[in-house]
Amino acid sequence: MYATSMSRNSEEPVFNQIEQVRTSLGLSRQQLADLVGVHYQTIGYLERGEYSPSLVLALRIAEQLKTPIEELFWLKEESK
Amino acid sequence: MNELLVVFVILATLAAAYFWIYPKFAGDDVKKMAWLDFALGFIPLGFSALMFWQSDPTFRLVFFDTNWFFFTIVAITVLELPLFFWYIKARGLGKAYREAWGFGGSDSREAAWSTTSIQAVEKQLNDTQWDGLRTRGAKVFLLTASNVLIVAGTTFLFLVGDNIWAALSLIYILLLLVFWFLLRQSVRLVADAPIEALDERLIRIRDRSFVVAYRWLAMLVTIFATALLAFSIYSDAQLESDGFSYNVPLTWPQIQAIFWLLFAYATMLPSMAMIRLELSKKGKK
Repeated sequence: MYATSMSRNSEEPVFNQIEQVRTSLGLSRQQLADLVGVHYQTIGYLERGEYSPSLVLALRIAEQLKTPIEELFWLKEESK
Repeated sequence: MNELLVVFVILATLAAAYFWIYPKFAGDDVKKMAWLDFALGFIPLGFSALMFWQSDPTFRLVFFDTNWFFFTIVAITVLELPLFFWYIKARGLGKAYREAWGFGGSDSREAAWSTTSIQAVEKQLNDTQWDGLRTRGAKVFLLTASNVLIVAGTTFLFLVGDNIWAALSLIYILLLLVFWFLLRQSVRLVADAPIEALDERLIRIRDRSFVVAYRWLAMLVTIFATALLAFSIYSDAQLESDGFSYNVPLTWPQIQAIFWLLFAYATMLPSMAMIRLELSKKGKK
């Protein structure tokens, strides 16, 4: 039901609280980028919701920010 | 006989270079090796010049006749290449060599095809010097101007006759190189970068750009192929046609026009496509 109601190539936005958790831990974008192995601009794109990470990157970020992945990322804007 | 003499001098120079000079004076320094190679190339070239400059005999190059200069250059290249690859492989210098000349920085097959190095991309990703080229206005200008340049240059070369105006083709080629450079700076070399230099977001953008670029290139090639087919069908309708052989009269500037049109789009389309995607994404917001 879920799959048929969605376009296969739709880029559904992934909401997150990376910025809040990152700043609360005192990490800069560059530091987080180095920890998870991406360019620092990619962290900016993620925080603004302009890029949806792969599962691997999402897990890496959650691990580095010591936050459960489901608390860090979610699909529906109103659900947090 | 002259050919054998030149070949002998080349072989002697190469033997001295690869079995004594490079191992002793260059070691694993590929840049030093390249400079030595450049300098040593003048030994057989100088020998040929001293021997044959005045008399200028004809040299037989397999199927062609040529002069001492081209024979020496071609013979050096043909004789040196196997030795060069053997030396590079034996000393494990492949990666260092590609890095030194900006052709990828990895042993991966993809990096070998890349026209830029990992270091160059990393530098560009943090670059602010060329930010003026990364504004929306600059991107629109680059995309429009580069396409206008290619279309105008191609049209000019197709129409120009055998006169002084044909020399303007050099300005067209120079401008193509300038726009190729600017387009690459505008997208921070990402469109041409090896996979090792990019993170997953940049890889996604690069790959998407190549899909778009390929579609545009496919359209261009299809137009060309269709025009050729239409020409042959039109020719068949002519009274003098035998329905099998076709004569396509092309001038030197027209051949240049076709070459530079295909070359320009083949090298510039990935960056153009990336700019187009960025503009359309920003436009949606």
